[in-house]
Amino acid sequence: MGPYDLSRPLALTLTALVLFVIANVYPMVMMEVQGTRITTTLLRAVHELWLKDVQLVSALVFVTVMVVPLVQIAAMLYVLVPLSFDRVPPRVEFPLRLFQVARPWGMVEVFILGILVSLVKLAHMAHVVPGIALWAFAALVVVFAAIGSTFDPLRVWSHIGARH
Amino acid sequence: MHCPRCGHPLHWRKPNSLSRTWALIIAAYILYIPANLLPIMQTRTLLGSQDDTIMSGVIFLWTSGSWPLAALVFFASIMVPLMKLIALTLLVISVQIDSRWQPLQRTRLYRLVEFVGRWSMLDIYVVTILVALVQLQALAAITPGPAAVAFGAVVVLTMAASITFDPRTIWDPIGDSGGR
Repeated sequence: MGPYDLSRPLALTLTALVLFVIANVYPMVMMEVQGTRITTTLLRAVHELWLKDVQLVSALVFVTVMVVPLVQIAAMLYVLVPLSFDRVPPRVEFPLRLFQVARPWGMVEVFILGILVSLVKLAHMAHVVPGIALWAFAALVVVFAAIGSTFDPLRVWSHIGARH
Repeated sequence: MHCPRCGHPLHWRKPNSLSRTWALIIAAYILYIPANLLPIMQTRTLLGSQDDTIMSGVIFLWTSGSWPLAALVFFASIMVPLMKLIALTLLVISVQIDSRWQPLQRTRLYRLVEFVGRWSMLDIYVVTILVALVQLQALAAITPGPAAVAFGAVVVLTMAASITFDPRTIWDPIGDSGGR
């Protein structure tokens, strides 16, 4: 196995971070009813559910669409940034394990489908336009797939082992 | 036994795999009933209010002409959770009775369950977005129903069940597999 090039997973992780911010700041869907424009971001939608007394569902959406991707990005940055400066971060085993454990619970790709189904349902009652966040989420899914094929904890471990 | 690299405890098989998986499956079966019978959301408009179950949401999509989407939601929200529960039950029973029947097919079934399970979250996300957008005071408002909590729990419990199930135990009755 040749030397593990860290720059590719690092670049993809930084891309994912930018897309994640865009996806959470910009609206997912825009709806026009009687001249007024209604939009919602992911965080506001989660908050709205919380106020409607279904805190469990709200927490589930919050964790699967926001917390898990963010934790995964943070774990990769924590490992990759020091390693690319040839340093091993303290307790490196923890983020590497966290990355694996969190993986099945991140569901951004399902969430995109959820936005699309909502758009179709709303199209019957109002004029709806997909928001910027939808595209950012879609791009995030593609980048996460690319990360999945370049960020390999096994190779990270042998990289650490070979140098330290 | 510990991993020499990260120090994490290691096991030959996932600990208490069978009893944990059983517990999660049974809980999911119980919650599957309210998840499908109770309304998942309530739509209140000037014309009155309407309760929607998961199935009536699918029927609405079907009759309003978007039948590919209706098929998709039907598959993700009704077929997948039920097939997943049946498949996991089958797998757990087959391991419990030390079955030697079709281990390869059963392993493939497990992989399928693992892969497809997450897509049942679809309806939860749809409700989230609709509730957030449709709050037009007197005109129309959507509120989540009790089935949303039950349905979310079914998805989480079945996903947890497929994580606690150890597919290696399928192969244990087939001769020498490295010990338990």
